Amino acid sequence: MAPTPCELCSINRALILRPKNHQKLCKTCFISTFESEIHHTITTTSLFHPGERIAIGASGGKDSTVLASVLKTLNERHNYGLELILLSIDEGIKGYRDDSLETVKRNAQQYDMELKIVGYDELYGWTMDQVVEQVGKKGNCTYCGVFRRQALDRGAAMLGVQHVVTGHNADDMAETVLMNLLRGDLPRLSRSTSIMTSTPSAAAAAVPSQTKPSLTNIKRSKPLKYAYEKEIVLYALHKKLDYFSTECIYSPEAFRGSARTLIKNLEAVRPSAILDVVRSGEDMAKLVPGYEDTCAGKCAGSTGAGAVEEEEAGCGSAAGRSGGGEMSKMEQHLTRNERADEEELEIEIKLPIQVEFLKDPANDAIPLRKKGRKGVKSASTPQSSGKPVTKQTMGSCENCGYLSSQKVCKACVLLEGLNKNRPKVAVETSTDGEIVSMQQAREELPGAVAQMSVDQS
Amino acid sequence: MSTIETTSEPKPKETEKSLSITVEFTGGLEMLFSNQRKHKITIPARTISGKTPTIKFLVQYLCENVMKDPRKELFVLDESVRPGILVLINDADWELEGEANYEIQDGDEILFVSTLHGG
Amino acid sequence: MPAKHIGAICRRCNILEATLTVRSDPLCRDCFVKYVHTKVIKRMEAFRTRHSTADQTRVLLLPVSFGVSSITLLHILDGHLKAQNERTGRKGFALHVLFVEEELSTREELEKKVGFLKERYGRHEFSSIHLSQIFKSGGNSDEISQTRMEALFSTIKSATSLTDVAIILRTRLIVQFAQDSNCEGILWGDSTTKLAEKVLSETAKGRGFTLPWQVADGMSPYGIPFYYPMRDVLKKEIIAHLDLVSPPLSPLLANGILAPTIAPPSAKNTTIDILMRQYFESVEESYPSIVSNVVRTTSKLQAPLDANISLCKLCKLPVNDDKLGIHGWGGDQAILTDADEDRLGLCYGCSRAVGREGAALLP
Repeated sequence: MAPTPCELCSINRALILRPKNHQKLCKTCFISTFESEIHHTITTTSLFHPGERIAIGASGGKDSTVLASVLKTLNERHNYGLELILLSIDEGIKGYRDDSLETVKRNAQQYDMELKIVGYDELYGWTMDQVVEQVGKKGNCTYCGVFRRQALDRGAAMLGVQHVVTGHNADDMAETVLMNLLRGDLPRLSRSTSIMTSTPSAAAAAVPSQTKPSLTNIKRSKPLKYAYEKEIVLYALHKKLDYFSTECIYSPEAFRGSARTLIKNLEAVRPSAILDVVRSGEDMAKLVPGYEDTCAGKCAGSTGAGAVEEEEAGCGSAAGRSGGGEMSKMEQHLTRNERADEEELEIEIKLPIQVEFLKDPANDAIPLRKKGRKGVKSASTPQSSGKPVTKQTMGSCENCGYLSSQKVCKACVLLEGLNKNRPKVAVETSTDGEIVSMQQAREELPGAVAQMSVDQS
Repeated sequence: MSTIETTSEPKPKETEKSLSITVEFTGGLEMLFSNQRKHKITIPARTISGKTPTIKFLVQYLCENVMKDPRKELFVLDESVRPGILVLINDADWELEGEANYEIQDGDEILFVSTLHGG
Repeated sequence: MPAKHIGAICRRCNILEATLTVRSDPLCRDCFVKYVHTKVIKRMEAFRTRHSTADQTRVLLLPVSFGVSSITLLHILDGHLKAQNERTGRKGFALHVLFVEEELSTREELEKKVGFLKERYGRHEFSSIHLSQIFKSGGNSDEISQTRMEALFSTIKSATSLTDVAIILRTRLIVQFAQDSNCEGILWGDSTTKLAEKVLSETAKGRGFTLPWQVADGMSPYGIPFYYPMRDVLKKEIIAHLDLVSPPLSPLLANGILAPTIAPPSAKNTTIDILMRQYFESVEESYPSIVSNVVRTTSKLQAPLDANISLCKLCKLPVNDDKLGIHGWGGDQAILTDADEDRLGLCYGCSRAVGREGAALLP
């Protein structure tokens, strides 16, 4: 095929076919267009203000590496006046995180940025290896998921930083929108589409005289929100950026795996589909009953309730494991509810809201927050979600001050359990009586992770 | 489909039985190929049917001769590269070069990068 | 849905042997048919005979496409009206059946199918109209309308955009017809499954903002209410029901409609709608409650109440915040200038389907 000139500069030969819109571009034009689009996102959403200290959640993967590189470039080019720090979380799984941490260390040198590595042992007093030793192979992913969610915020609080940026890209956003539609979770959908959310977290420097740490708001934003995953890969490739890759593992039985496949197929039919899904998500968020229309999502509008439950897509193994059978579980739960409705079982009604609802099922004026977590008629059977159907009020954990709808946040609950049973010997039986040695679990984890990629494909 | 170079470029000599190319795997794909990113390989200058080897041929060749991992499905789907894997030929997107029908030349650098991984 | 419980007794009547399994319940044939009919009739509450007077007839438009859902809806409503009449001497409403002719069916096939329908359900009013009629204006001829339609379609390059535009024009035409024929509302045949497909496909096309009117019962922005009486029945239940009534309904359907959806091998020819149809065909198999849940929750989205908002030139739906066009949203380096986009007057989703050339040719 004869070489095609770049569609923008018409001078250089086109080497790149832009996944976003099939435009044919030369290397230089692609790189500058990619960067200027992110700059556009940052300026139109007023994401940063001069003098801000920003912690970049760095995993050593392509998204965070590109994020760091682009932010550095734009910060200098457009004088954002930001102080950029790399923040990396070490779960303490020997052999798993080592490579990516090495990459982050190199990135810190390459981009001339301060790097802070915060370990689970520092944050929680437990490494994942130690957790596995304690609870065995089966329960450990719950721990990792809960700890991981809070780790970035807690790490930032330790650094005295109030704004964390993550490398979530357009594909991630689109998957989340579809996933929440499939789950029927409108509140979460509306929270997940904002480019910035905030979570209260324990301040790094608590006032010494107080026994409880004070709360500060940590902002979390996604500057790459509109950038295609494929383009991030191309950018990293053509700029020869250094990153570490692991195979992505999402069980197809989980909503996210299903959503991911749909997104890939949609992209093949119409390249703009990924952004179109994100746009639909933003528009639908405004139509969800109870949406607080503050600053149209530009500032830290929402009450951070979503940030607590926000899924960490980073660790493929954790998400994959917990996702397995997710759809079957939901199906069972819904079927039970449907059957109960049809048979018109009268369950003990605790709140006036329930009575109103049962009287007129077609009444959709009831705000979603008053229902159970999934927006489904819950508490209509005794076996459904153990939580009483009350308005989800967000308070803070008594222990650590982290945002939680319960008195004590999940991490603290888990830690309490761990600390109570802290063994004096290295070997401990797991909950199902199987003797698991630390060494065995450490060896088997990467294999289990790899096995799941087979199951998924 | 014609290659990039004009036909004034001399064709591979009759005596040359093979093409030397560099194949690179990144984005996690290297895991399937003995964890080695760059591979220098030689392929025949003519396939059994007497034609110049194309990318399509190369993909099959790699599966049979270079891939050490038994999970072929992570690299190919229906005789073509699996969706989600970008192919670059001498730095250019393969869609700009004829995709699977591009005819390989001596000294080409072919890159396979997976976009399906966490980050 | 073959019976998983061989020899089990029907869970509803507890008398007859079950022949099918419906959402994990074994049912006999009669109870199943009753189950489907009840689900539909329940949704017609607003049109009971007590709500109508003898002299004034409420007319509802029923567009049929020779697909499983609309034909089934026609059958069920026909039976229902007959029963109403026998019981009370009156009917709660009258049906006006409409088919929109499109390029896809041949003349002969269409006429044969229409003939079958009139034979069975002749007591209702029937009309047919060609899709190009949406281009009719100022008394121009049918040929000109046809030409205008072909001109627009020729500017649309992808299969998915073409399908998209055709569906939008079809909806507009049906609404127009309903208004011209004094119909009080439109009855759409969409099953639970179809509605779930719409939730995802409209989202994928950037049209999330239209979902309140596309999946929930209620007043549409066109000024005429939309009803989806089949919303509680799954597509596979409708298919199972087809031949359990007598006479059976399959002969009335368009040819080949019962085959499972297969996407064309090339991504270039697949459409987003086909993708979603395939997806939900498989989800419906194993997780039917998830399908219903998608529809139930999405129906809770509330349409914005603003007056004074702009209407998209293609779909004629109100765009909130008055944001027509793309205008660099999402970092998009627009090929058109802001002023151009304003002039084109298309919503985000329609901007993806129709380019500048096509925008000038819209009805």
